[in-house]
Amino acid sequence: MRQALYALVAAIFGFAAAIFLLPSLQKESPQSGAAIDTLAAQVDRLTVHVERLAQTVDSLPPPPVATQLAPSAVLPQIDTDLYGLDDRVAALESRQRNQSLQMIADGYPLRAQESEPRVGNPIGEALFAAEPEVENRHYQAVVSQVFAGLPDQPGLRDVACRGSICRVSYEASAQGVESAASHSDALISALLQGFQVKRLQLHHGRDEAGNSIAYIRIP
Amino acid sequence: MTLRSILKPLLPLLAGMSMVLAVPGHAQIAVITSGDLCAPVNVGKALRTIQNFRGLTLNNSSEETIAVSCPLSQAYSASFLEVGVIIQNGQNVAQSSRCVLREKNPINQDVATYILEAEIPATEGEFFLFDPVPLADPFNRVNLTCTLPPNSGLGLLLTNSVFPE
Repeated sequence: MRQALYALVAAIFGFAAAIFLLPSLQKESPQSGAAIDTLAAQVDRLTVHVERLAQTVDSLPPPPVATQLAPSAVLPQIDTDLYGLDDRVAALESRQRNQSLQMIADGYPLRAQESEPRVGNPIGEALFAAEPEVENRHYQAVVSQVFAGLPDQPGLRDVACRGSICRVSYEASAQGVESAASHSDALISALLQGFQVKRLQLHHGRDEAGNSIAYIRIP
Repeated sequence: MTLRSILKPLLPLLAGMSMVLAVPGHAQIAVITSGDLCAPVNVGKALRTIQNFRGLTLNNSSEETIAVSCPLSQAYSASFLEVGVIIQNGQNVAQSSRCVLREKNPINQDVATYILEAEIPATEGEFFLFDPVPLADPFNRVNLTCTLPPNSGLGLLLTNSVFPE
């Protein structure tokens, strides 16, 4: 359709050029007046025809979007499963989902607000139980002295020392994270000084009454 | 404190590290991390004195001791974790440093605390090697806090995740 239109436009320009040259032709050939009239009539008809064609082109619907894009053969063909990515992602998602489901089934605390302080400390209790049941009164005295000298003086509930480890129960601090951290640092310094050691282990927990428990071990 | 004085004592400490990296009969993953990822505990206090510099966390103060906190990499489901850290003393006098290793559960409660204090000889380094930490839960993590005495630097962090047989 467009090619025909372009051909017609070219023809019109050709006729227009011929008309422009008519005076000179008339000078050279006065008998050609009838031919000129014929040509002018043809130009008029062709002009009308071109106008109709232009109207037809304008009235055509817009081409579909797909034909505006480059041919599909030009676009790179992507193999989405070239590296088995789909399978690997699916496997990871499945494993993560299973793990999460298992954690929920095990009653794992997923939110800090819902979590209860853990009762006891299995590793600390195992270390305490492994020691011979011989009371270490020296260590008991040191622990009592250390707690009495702490700045906020947490209430000491119970102290039991065996061999190289003490099980200490004291009132839980409820003064926020920062206070607890500074309390912990003060306790560590006082214990190192009290036992006169350079190496120390603490295993933390809580008892059923909500008191803090610390298993203090001098390796 | 010059960089040379900091790095000089490293070689003798490698012997202690190699002992850590060999636990016969157990699978293990040892990870060494550059010490410059540590950050001061009290940022305001350390603003002008702590510098993360070419693999070191340096305390440039000539008077103040500054505590720095270091995250540690550990392998999931390891049953034991061994942690070591090298601190170098750039002063001409011996200085004391204390490192505290905290095992924390996923909601940040302290599960266990391991304390190690040592005196670092003048212009030398000390390898702080903690007792193996039995991880009570595969999701527990560990955090290290060390005090850096004046003109000292923390240059190397070592974690060795040990798995059951």
